[in-house]
Amino acid sequence: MKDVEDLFDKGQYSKACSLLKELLGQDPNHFFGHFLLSLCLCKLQRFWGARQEAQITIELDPKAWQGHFAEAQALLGLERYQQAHRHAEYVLEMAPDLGSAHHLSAKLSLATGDFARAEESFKQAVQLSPRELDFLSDLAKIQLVSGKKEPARQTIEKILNAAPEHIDGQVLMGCLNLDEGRLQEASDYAIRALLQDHEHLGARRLMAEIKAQTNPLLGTWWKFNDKMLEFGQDKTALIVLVSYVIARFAINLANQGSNTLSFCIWFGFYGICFLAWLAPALFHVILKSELDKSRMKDL
Amino acid sequence: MGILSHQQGYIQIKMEFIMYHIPDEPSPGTLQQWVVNPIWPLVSYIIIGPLMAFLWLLFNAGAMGVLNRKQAINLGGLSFLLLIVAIVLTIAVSCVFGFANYETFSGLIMDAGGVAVAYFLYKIQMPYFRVYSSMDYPVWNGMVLMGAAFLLRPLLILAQMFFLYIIL
Repeated sequence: MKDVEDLFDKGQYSKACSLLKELLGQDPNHFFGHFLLSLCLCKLQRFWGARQEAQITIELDPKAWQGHFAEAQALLGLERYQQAHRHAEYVLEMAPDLGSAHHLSAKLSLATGDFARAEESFKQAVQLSPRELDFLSDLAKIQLVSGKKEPARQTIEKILNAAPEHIDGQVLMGCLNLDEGRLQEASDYAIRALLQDHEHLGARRLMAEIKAQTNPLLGTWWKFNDKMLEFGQDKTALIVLVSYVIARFAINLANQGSNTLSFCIWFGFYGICFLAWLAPALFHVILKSELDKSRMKDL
Repeated sequence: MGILSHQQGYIQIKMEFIMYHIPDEPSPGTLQQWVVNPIWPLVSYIIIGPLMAFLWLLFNAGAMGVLNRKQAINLGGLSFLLLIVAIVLTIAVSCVFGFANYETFSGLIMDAGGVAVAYFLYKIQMPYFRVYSSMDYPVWNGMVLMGAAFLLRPLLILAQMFFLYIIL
């Protein structure tokens, strides 16, 4: 169990999952095993599986806060805020000194648009667990959004002093620099974040904003590709399929008219396919090669 | 669970673990080496046609262990039923708008119905595929089959039409 907790703390959730599966294979009623597995699955964005594990945890001990905490986390991921809120309230009642419980409550308030309450809860979470960098970065985000630049700067500096490579910390510092008009510094932070994870949405958005300020066309290209990344494969596939049906219908109508029109319709459809599938792939390749060049320069 | 076995004079201890199965994990079988990203069968709907897409999507779901054979047959049956409903609907719509527009409306209804079924089959296996690919199971590059199918497109379209002719 100690190994699992170490892996979890280091962020190696897949390995922790494998160990937990072995542990639960030997003891299927291991309460903490199911609890930790649910948290690991949440971190891996497997919210449906996380919820199933959370429900098993609750069945094993209905009064313990752990099961309800895990269930609230999973429900938050599944965007079922009302149900998540009920479980989060129970956790706060049972464990009022738990920083994670306040953090969870803050994230729920943020998801439902209650910024003031979210900020209060984030502050409480940070007070209770001052070493949790994720709590600090969430607090800094909300301070930045509400325009409190000086407190935000202090919070971000705390994060970067504790862990200079913290990706969210770098992105937030980049955003703050961009807000204050220091483009070069903002760009440095964005590149450092992208070098660690070139698909980090926050880092890509920051870079898009920087590019937009120097070259509007390049900014639009970046923003478009970020949007496609945010859409994901499922929505992109749906867009292409719907365009296909519309194109086929339009061609059937056009065939009663001219062939030039049907050619234009197919051309439009292939254009959509290019924008939906090929353009993001091309962007991905260009970005990776640019980042590799920048990595070589650093060496 | 330890199993003791004597081999060449040594005592070998084999540790066999019963792995816990998380409900959102697929259970791939012997066909796992043919599993592809479900986007490829879906794209094959546009490039080749509906029949290949449906069969490929069903096969992929079965190979990944998302559906068992019975569920795959049931889904296949349901898709076929939807096809019949689409045909009946086409005839009804054509009666209303006149048979001069038959091709236009039949095309729209068949395409919309076909795309909906294909997207449904894609959507049910996609969450499992994400877990599947994160668990280091083999994933075959569907582009190879797509390329081959594109080259043999006229033959495949003929085969599809022949199949539909036999059924209907």
